[in-house]
Amino acid sequence: MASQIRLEDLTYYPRLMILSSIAWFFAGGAAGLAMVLAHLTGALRIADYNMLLTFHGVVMPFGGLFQLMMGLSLLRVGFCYGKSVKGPLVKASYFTLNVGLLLILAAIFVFGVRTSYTLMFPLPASGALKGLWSLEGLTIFVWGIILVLAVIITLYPASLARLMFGGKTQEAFVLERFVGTLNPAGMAGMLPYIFIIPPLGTAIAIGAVTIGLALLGAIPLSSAGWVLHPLNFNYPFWIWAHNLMEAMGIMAIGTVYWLIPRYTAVLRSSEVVEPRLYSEKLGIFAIVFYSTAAVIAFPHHLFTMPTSQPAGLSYTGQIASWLTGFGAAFSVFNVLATAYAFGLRLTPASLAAMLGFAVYIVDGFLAMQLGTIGWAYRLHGTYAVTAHLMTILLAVSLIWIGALYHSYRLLFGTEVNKKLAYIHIILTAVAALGLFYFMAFMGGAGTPRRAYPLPIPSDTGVLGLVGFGVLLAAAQAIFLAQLFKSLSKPHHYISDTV
Amino acid sequence: MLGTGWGAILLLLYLTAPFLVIFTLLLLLAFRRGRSLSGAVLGEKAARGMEVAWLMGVGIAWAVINLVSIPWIPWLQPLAATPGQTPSEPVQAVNVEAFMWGYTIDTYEVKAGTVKFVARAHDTIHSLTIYSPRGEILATVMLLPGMREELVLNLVEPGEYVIRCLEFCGDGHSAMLSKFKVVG
Repeated sequence: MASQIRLEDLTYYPRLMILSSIAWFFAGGAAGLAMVLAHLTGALRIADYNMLLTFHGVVMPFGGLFQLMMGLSLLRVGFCYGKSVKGPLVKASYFTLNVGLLLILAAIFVFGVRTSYTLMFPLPASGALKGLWSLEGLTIFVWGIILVLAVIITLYPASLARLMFGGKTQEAFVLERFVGTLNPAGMAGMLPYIFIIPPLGTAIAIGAVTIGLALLGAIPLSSAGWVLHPLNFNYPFWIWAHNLMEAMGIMAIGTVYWLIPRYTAVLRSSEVVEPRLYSEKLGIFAIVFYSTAAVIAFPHHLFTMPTSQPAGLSYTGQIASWLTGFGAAFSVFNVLATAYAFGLRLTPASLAAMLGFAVYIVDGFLAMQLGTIGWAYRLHGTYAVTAHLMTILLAVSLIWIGALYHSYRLLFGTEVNKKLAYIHIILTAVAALGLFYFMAFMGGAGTPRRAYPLPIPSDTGVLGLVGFGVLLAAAQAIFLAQLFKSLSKPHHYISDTV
Repeated sequence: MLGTGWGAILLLLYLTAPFLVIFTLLLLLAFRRGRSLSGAVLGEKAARGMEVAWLMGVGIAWAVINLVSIPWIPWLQPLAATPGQTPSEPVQAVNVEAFMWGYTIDTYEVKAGTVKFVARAHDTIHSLTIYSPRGEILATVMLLPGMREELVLNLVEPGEYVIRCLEFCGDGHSAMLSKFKVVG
């Protein structure tokens, strides 16, 4: 029986997703580097800069990070629950996401749709009406978004749920055993995504499909009027977008809870180490507490509408934002107490998870400041917000890089060159923090984000962004060199059986 | 000072820099102990004590920061007294219309004191962000088309104030600005 199970059934799609995410990261990162260099040299036309900004904003979080998370989380569930990671849902998740991203890419570079990092509703429609881009480009852009939304809101959580709760366990696939679904905390981190994102994303998905059908002429444009009202759009959008980022963050915290107990110290050379966490109960409580607070923290995105947003909703948003910080504080203690009490083995996986966690927590304080009404009125729309968004994505990426190093041999059939991996991880963490503080200080000085050329000169800030941006790129180049070397070796994993 | 953009970022630095140092030291210690650990060294009682102390510290810090931040909320700030106006209803009103990519303002000069801004966006999302003569952001308001936003500010410092858009609104976003004067 065991010989009939191919390891490839477990690793094929996750590997495809991970490699595709690296390709998107590479393309989006190159765009990001070109953008900071443009601030230094002024070499780009405004329209070209805004196209790169839109491209960077789409591919880094969705093509890169989301897809990396999708591949590694499906792989983890697969080998922890002993189930093959394939089937229509997994295939549809991979292809739909990447086709959606390619449509958006075409809309940006062929039709010139340039709405910046997020949709900035109703800019996509206003831009078409003003002649900045065509209605055809807008239609392709919207359908690309619909496909990406389909994966985020339905296909990926359904794939995850099917693996966790459906199908039979094949013992030969159980490479790391988990008990139950809520315990330990490492797996509990996946549950908020499965149960929170689909219901909270339904309204925005219905809105997007309505707009998409109206653009195709399948339904009258007047039937999409309710979605086109700015408040009707912005509340469902932020309820979903805010919680997507939170769910991805919680998933990453769950990854820390999964990895760190596995790298606690070996007491004797003969010992088989059982995963050890300072407190499982505290870990699960932290995740439940954080997830609950995060769901109602979304009004902080709309603090700066003093008349349109009820004050009570703003106060709720502020309190909930700070409660998420309290939830994170539980995890800070739990993770550090685990590391201190049991000792940690230095490996690329444990180092990346811990440094990613540190960056996540540091960024978390800025997130809470931006979630404070009084500060939001002085910082919203500045580089401080860019600092927060970019850093949370980098921190979560770094934690997933830890998961990638943990499963590197399983995925690519070769051992990691530890020295190169340590350089990659440390440089990534240093660059992330450098970019974070430079952007935060630019924000404190009132420098507007997403503006090119910068209307408020910030030579030191731009130099910092270029320096740490180049450092970040160099770190990823080290990782890519190692990956290409692994891929060029004979692929043992293709024919392996479990 | 703490209620400004600079104040926020300085506090961020003051709190996160020590955290990073402590985290790094604990991590190095954990890795060192990972090589030669002879057994768990954190007693249960000591761990519980540290856990309670940490959570209480975080709770107190969070509560203090939230309470201190209440007066910075624009609609809770006491209004400055200006000759000819009552604090509860500022007589100086500035109407602002934002469009791609500029502003129309119905008055370019106001007296030092309390000013109410009434702002709308015509075509897409914009913001009304007011910079003091020293370049500090006093407040930013997001403007969605079809919505009307009101903001009351105490503008006590005479000089030239700048209005900028901080919400990406297309190719002319960076150059979207206007100015007005506050006279003593």
